[in-house]
Amino acid sequence: MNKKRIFFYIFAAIVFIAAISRKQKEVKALRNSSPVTFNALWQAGGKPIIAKKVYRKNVPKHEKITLKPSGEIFKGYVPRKISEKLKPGQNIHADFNGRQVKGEIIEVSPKISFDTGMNLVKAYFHCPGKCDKWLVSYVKVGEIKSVISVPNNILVREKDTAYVWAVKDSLAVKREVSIKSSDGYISVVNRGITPGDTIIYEGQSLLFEGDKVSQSLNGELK
Amino acid sequence: MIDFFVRRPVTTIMFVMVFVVLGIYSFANILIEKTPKIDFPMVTVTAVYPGATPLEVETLVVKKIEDAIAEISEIDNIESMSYNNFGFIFTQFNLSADVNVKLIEVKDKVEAILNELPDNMEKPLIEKFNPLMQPVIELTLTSDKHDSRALYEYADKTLKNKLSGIEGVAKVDVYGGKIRRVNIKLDPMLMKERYVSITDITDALRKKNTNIPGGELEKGYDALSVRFVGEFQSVDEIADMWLTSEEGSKFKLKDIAEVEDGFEKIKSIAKYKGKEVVGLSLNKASDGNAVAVSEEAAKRLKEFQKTLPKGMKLEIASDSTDFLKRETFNTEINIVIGILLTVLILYMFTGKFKITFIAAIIIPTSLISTFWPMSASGFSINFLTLLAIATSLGTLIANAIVIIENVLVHLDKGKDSIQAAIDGTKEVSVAVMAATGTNLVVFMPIAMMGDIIGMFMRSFGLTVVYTTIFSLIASFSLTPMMCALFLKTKTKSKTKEKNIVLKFLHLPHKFTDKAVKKLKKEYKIIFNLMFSYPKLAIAFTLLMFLSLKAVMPFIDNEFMPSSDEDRIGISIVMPQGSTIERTLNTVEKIEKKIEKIPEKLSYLTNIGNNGVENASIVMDLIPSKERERSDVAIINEIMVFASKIPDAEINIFRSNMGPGSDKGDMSINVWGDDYDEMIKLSLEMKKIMEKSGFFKSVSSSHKIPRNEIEFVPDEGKLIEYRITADKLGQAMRASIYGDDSNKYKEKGEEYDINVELDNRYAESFGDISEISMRSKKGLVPVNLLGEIKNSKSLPTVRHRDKKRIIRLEGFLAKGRLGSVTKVLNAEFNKLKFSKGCGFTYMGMSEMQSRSGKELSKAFSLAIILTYMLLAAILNSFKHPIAILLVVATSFIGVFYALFFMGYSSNMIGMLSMVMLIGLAVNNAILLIDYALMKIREGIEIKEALWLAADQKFNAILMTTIAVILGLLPQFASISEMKKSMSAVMIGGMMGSLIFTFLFVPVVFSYIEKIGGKKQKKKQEMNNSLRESRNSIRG
Repeated sequence: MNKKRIFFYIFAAIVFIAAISRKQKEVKALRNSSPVTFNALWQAGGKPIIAKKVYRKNVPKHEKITLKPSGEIFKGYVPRKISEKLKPGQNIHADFNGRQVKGEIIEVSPKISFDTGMNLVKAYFHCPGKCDKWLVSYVKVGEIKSVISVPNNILVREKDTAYVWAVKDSLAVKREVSIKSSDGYISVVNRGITPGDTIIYEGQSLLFEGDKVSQSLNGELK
Repeated sequence: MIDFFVRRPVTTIMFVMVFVVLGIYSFANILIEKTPKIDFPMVTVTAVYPGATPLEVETLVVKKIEDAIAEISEIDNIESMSYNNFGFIFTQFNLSADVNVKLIEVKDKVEAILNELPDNMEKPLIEKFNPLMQPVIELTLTSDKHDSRALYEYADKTLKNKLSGIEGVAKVDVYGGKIRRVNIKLDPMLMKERYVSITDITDALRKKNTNIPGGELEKGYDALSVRFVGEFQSVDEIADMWLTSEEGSKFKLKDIAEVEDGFEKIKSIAKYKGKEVVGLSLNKASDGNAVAVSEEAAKRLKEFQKTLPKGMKLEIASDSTDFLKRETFNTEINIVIGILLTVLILYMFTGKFKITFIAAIIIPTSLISTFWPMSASGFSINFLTLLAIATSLGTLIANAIVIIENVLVHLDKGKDSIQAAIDGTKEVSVAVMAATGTNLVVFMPIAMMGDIIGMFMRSFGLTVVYTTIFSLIASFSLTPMMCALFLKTKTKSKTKEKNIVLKFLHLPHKFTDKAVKKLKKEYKIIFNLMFSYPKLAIAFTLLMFLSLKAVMPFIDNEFMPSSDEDRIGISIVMPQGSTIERTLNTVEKIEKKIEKIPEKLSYLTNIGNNGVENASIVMDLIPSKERERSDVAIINEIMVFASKIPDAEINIFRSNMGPGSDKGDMSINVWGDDYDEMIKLSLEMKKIMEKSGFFKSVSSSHKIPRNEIEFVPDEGKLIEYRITADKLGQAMRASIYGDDSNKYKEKGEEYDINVELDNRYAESFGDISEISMRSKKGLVPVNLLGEIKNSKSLPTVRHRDKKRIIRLEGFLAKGRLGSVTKVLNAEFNKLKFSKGCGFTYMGMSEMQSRSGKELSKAFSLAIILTYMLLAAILNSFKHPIAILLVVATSFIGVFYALFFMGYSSNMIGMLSMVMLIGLAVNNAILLIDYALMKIREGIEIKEALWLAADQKFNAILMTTIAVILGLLPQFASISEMKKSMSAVMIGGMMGSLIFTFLFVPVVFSYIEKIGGKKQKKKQEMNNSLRESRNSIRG
């Protein structure tokens, strides 16, 4: 073998080894690269949430009654437990063909009707057109004064304990709360959160304790 | 036989043409599909239990059905999912099971427990399930004039029937739109006024809405049939139906309820390019031709469009065969290019047009003939069979090259063309048969492979077998015949030399010839060097082997690589308890983003598939060749946007309409006895997966439970009011979910009559107390009969083999399944798993592990069979060892090719490795067969080996390059699978070529010497024994 040939083979071997080394670096770089992942995006910008500050406020209580048109006024029968909460002059509203119509109660009979076993209620509605069908009407019958309330769907229930997700220093934290009363959609909280706390209303389903969070652009509140 | 073919050219042509004609005839009947047709022995039971929570579906329906089905034999596994309102039970049987028999058995078992299932649930739907069956075409029906109820009505009642009539269509699914229904919305206050309960109303409707045949009145010769007609004739008649309260007061239904000709509560929404539509999915029958269905549907669509009601528009939203047709056409073009390149290389080596012509005849002849047994075996033209054909291109011509080369040698000896063709072919017949035999024998284990991978790969293996057999037939019939016909003894023609065109055309050959001669000269030096330092040659090979340790960790492994197939899938899961409006709201945000993506072609949205919280968007992109950005770049852009949407669990992935394309790349089942512990573990594992950085997104089948209101009846009160618990439950169900047991008939069609409370009295906690029950003491509100509590319901429940599991799905962003699994395992093992809890890799990982085992078995068997075949042909135990060692060395080439080209090691690659066993040994067979011939003539080993190397140098080089060139065009394909397979084959053939020349001669000489020494010793012992016997006798 002449020197030229030996040199050629040594050169080829070096090129081969160099190519291996280069490719190894390339693969390593690719493996260490940071691809677009939801986790990476959330770590950088925070998980999207819609949060609101909670304050004490009065929570209204409504009753639903059905009233049928009868000439200029509307009449309906309601069970005694509801009639007891109604009185003339109370505001009343209903939905008629997609628009809200308002009115007021003009009479609540204290006597139970023999035919229906219920009390007669009469109301007047300000119908610009003519409300010619019965109206499922809402009457405000009272309110719970100065309480903190949250929607039920943001409550996390674990066995006998309830939590809400709150925001502290842009991080999600779980707060144990005590529920005073609750209906299908709203719960009155009497312990665990205080006025001015920022509570997460949307986005809690993907949260872990301590996650960085950010207010969703689409969820900016007016 | 060879004499016969050479001396009777017409007979030979006709003999080969029989297969060609059969091949052409069969081609027309072969289906075009994406994947091979596989009958999965899988039966699915769909159980619809309206209004039920996942827990109720699980305990009252799914568990009972699972228990019943579990008694059936040959079950591989049972998986189930319990959702709101419905549940699925998938039973997968062993692959050997007859799915039709199993279907009947499942039907029998479910039929037997029907009485144990809830009354309000629909009859379970039991059918065979093929995960590969995907919609061929998605159609959309739109209108600016008609509402979505009219659109659904036309799609469901008219179009569905018409489309089902298209040949090959098995099923048409209609989704989106509004389903007509008569709604009776009761006002509980007005009901109380009239002293009626909801059950009074449903009972009254049932009693009134009935037709009864009254028999016949006969008089003399005449008979009159009598019918009692009580069924409602119009919706107004329903509203005007008279009811009587218990006190006897009469009133009409419309006095206490709103009666409307409306539609069902919307459970699914279909959208096309952001506009609401009614969608129709056309699913082909398992033996239907997807392309034919698509073409026929497109043709018939024009007819249907003519008869559409005015204002309606029917169009194709998505055609899954578009990509299939494009990719099949591209592969076919690549095969043609492969053929041309193979023919070209032959010309470059031989410089003879006649030889090139022979090759140009042999390849298509073998290929076309292959379609006949393919069709007879029921194979389709799919990516695997096309890949098999592409892989075989080089091998098709390899035998012909060996024969032609040898015929030329005999012509050079001065024989006439007929005799040269006969002698030349006969001389290499053993080598050709051995080479072809090894090609074939490796596919026996592939054909015998079990599991789904075996079913999948069978068509690949057998297609290669068919092409190889036809190439062998052509090699021993057409090749020698054409050699005798076209090749003549060498005579120098001066006129040819003068022809400038011919001179120009000979240039490539001249260059090749010069290069080959130089290479051979160089090899002569290396050959001598090898035999001067034989141990060094072996050490060099071992060093190359060891060097693989440096590259192997940089080769990823996975089950199947995915490709940019011009389609992106987006799945959206909103929190449990979300309404369809909330899901729609999120979908609309993503649709707005999609609208701004310039590469989008169209997008089809389906909301409500498997529950109103779920939505999916399939986005078609313009073909990859026409766009600058890859699908991954587009996915990343959408992900950045989607990451800002609260509460939406979004997965964005390459969608290829294939099985499981909407499932994660990695699926893990978390199992255990304690469900709370499973939830905890799954959350920790999900966190680990997310933090690993390998996954775009990770989703869990366990969702945050939705809110629920529980009503717990008070036994004492029920007794006091004489109300049974089931009656109370039914009344509550009718009030909130509705009772649609009554039907309204119009123009021969049936529509549900649904009775429920007015929506405004069925929206809050307090509304439940407005539901009244009839009791012995009159109407009683239900809140007096029990306690109403706030609670959380269990979300979707999954089972595997009757036990609860939580499924984690991860969509890979980087890395491949194998390497990611290793990293994750290390992390998962740090977690504390309590007794009875654990996790199992499913989906692709499970398939990869099962297939890996099957392929390893096939690989070992292929080696053993190849050895046995070679030993039989060469009549030697030791020589096949030298030949088989080249298989091991060819893998050096395989892994370096994968490493440098950046492809993963996957199932297709592993299959190619099995195939490579048959191909890699061919070069060594040629070399050793000739060397053995020379040794038998009394030539010394080294000299014989050099003569063999010198004689077969061109043939070996040519066949290897032919195989490589046949595969090279596949790198232009979109499919990563084709590319990685080509990389394996090309690397392997390169390895085989290099080590056949560098390693095999040295190993052969050692083996030959060891054997020679033993034989010499034995002979010496025999001689001395004989001598001593003679001396004793003497």
